[in-house]
Order: sequence, then structure tokens, then C-alpha cells
Amino acid sequence: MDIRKRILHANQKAVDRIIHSNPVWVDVLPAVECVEGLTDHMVLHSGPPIEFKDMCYLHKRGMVSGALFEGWAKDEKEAVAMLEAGEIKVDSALNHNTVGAGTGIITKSITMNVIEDKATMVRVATFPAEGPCEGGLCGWGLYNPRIADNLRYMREELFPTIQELIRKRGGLAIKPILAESMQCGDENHTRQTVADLLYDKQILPDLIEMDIPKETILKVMHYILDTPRFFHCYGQGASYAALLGAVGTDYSTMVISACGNGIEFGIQVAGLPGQWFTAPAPMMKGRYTSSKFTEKDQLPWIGDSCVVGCAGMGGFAAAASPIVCNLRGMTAQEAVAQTREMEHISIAKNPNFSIPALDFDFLPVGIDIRLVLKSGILPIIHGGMFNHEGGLIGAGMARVPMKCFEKAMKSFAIKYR
Amino acid sequence: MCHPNTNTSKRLRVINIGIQMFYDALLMQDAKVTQIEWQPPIKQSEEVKELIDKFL
Repeated sequence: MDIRKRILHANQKAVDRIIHSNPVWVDVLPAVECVEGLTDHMVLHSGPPIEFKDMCYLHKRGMVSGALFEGWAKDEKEAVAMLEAGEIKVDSALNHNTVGAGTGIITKSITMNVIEDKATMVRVATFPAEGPCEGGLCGWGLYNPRIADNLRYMREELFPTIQELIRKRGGLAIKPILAESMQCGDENHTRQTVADLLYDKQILPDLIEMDIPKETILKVMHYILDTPRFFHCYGQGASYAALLGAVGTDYSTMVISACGNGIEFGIQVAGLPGQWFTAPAPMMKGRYTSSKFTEKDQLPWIGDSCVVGCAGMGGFAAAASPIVCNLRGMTAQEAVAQTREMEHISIAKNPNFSIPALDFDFLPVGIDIRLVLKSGILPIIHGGMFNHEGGLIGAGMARVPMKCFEKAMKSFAIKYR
Repeated sequence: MCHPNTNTSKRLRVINIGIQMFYDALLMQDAKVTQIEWQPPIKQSEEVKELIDKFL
């Protein structure tokens, strides 16, 4: 068969994994029980793989924070020595069945939500936001007594209740929430306002009916309601579970992950499993939370959450969320144009996501490295801006570097010559 | 700004190639405009160009 035809068939198969995915939140477990390959004395991080010595400050601090949280080291000095000696292993979260939002610090004891794609039975685990501590350890790589206490509280009090709830409920379907929220103004990367409400509508009645003390119910309810973008981790898990289903599709040129570590940005391709294609991480353009911030304060792209873009949301769903685009000064028309631009580099349209501002046309899905190279149109990814010391300083967008696609195409040619 | 139709005895008829905002601006001033989508060719190495031709 002609190579182009093989690629077409392979890409259809790969993108069908996303379109026909059926992600369901099925469980809550400690990371060591649900993240494949995560062992004791191992810390996962966001972005493509990088050695401890080469990491940005945020990741180095996150590694140390993880070691302290797990009790592997008594202080920062000992943690650094262990990391430098390789006694604590580090790896990219996306090399496992998990997603590292922000700094993406994951160690064995972190509580994780488990999302299962019922179409393929692929499971992905993502960490929840840390309530009053916001990004906390996992998202921002921070560690202090308050964060430690909150993580223990989440693990020992909060999530056992949520675990019981979700098990008794028999799971929560994620796709209907994604679909409906994108008809109401979310693009499910920077904005989950509606998704949060739809989640609450389904989960809270079950919580209230639980045969547990009222005080516990109120604590869990406040944690859910008071945590902004609570649903974000579910959208990421659903996306990566679908994308992992496409990994190893021979001849496919579809992108299955995109992420940054503050130094480099990397992509992976369905037909080239296990390989990373990297380039210097891009800076974001957008709006800062304060006029005191400038580009000098901004860390180059860090985080794995743009897996939602690979699954056809986020930057690809700009038309669904003019309000997110307006934060960067765009008009509603320009938001639509952004999604239309992304159509040029996408394999298909996803009939699950019909968008009012597109006259109910469907969102594009499945980034094809060939189309990116041919058109010169670089995928737009939405996300949060971090500063060099940690913490969000704004939100905006970036484009995936062309170099990633050039390297991927060359490797594809070697494998499928 | 000079109105495109102010100083001419006939209505302007324009073919705009590329930048969309020029098309929009002319349209709002009642000029007759045809838009042609175009962007400068992408700069790629010969190696990448060959691979695109082979695989796409």
C-alpha cells in the first residue's frame, strides 16, 4: 500500500481513539497504586524528560518538596544530595499514565483521581487541585507545613469520602460534561467555570445522601466548591487516556502529547512511541494578573495540561470560549478564527463537540505533524503563566515550536522509510 | 482617513490578497472587495520539504 494511504488509515484510526473515547472517573487511589512504573524514591515532573541538574528552579524545588513530603530526606540539603546522586529517580509524568499540570510533581503518596477510557480500558491518573493551597506541591512544586498538612488531610480525610462516593456511584462520565461546558463558554483548559458547575450538579447530591457525619459532608463540599477549576484534572485525565489509546498506531503522524518543562518543549507522536521531539520552550503571550509583571518575570512554558489541546480542546476550542480569548484582548470573531486556523492542521472534526459560535460546526481534533509542516501553522496552546519562583502570574497562549515537528518528521522517515 | 470612494467617480473594486483586516476595513467602507486567502510560502529545509512531499 502507498505510504500516504497507510498514513491516512493510521491517522483515522488514531483520531477515532479520541473521538470515540468514553472517559469515566472511576476511582481515587494513591499514586503508587495507579501510576504505572512509579516506584518508591521516584518523583515525576511535567514536560519532556530532563535531568535534575538541568531543571529550572521550579522543578528543582518540586523535586526537593516531593522528597521532603515522602520523608525520604530530613532537609533540603539531604534531598538535593540524594537527587544529585541518583538515589531519588526523576522522570517525565507523561512517560507514565499520568499528566503533570504545572510543575507536575507526583510521588507515591499523592492522592490521584483515576480516569478510565471505557472504549479502550486505558487508565490515567491525575492529581486534584490542592484546595486552599491552590497549586501547592503538585502544581507549583511548593512545600511548607501548611501544604504538607493539607496533603495529609486530603489523603486521610477528604479523599476517602470522595473514594467511597465515586465507587458507590459507579463512576462519573466525563465527556458529557466536557461537551456541554464547551457549548456554554468553557474551552476546558484555561476555563472550567461551567464544567465545575455540571460536576457539582452530579456529585453533590450523592455526597449529601452519604451516611456520614454532616461535618464531613460540609468539609468535602467546601473543598469542591471553593477550589477554582476543580474539574481541570478530570479533563486532562480524559484527554490523556484517549490519546494513550492511540499510542503505537503504526504510520500515524498524530501528536499524542505536548508539554514543557520550563527549559524545553516536547511532543510525542502516535506512530513513534517512546520518542520525544524537543525544542526550546516558548514564552506565552497573554494577560498578567498584575501590571507589575512583564515577560522578564515569566518562565518559558511549563506543564503538561496542553494534552487537552492534543485532544481538541483548549487552544483548538477557542471558538467555544470567546471570554478566555478576550482575556488576551481578542474579539469573539478572532476566537472563531483561531479554531478555524487549527482546522488546517487537524486530522478530523469531533462530532461530540458542536459549538454555537461555529454555527454548531464541530471542533477540530488530532494534530497532524505533516499538516503543521506543510502549512506552517503552529498549534496554539492555552495555559497559565508561571513566574520563575512559582505561582501563576497570568494566562495566555503560545505556539508549539516548529522544531519539534521537524524532528518528528525526520524520525518518522527513518522508521517508515 | 480618506474614504476609498470619496475621490473617485467610480466605486472601487479591490482584490485583497492575504491580510484579512484590510478586506474587513474596505468592506466596511462599502468598497467591492474580493478576498483571496494567501500567506507567504513557509521556509523549510530541502530535507523537510522532501519529506512533506513524500508523506503528504
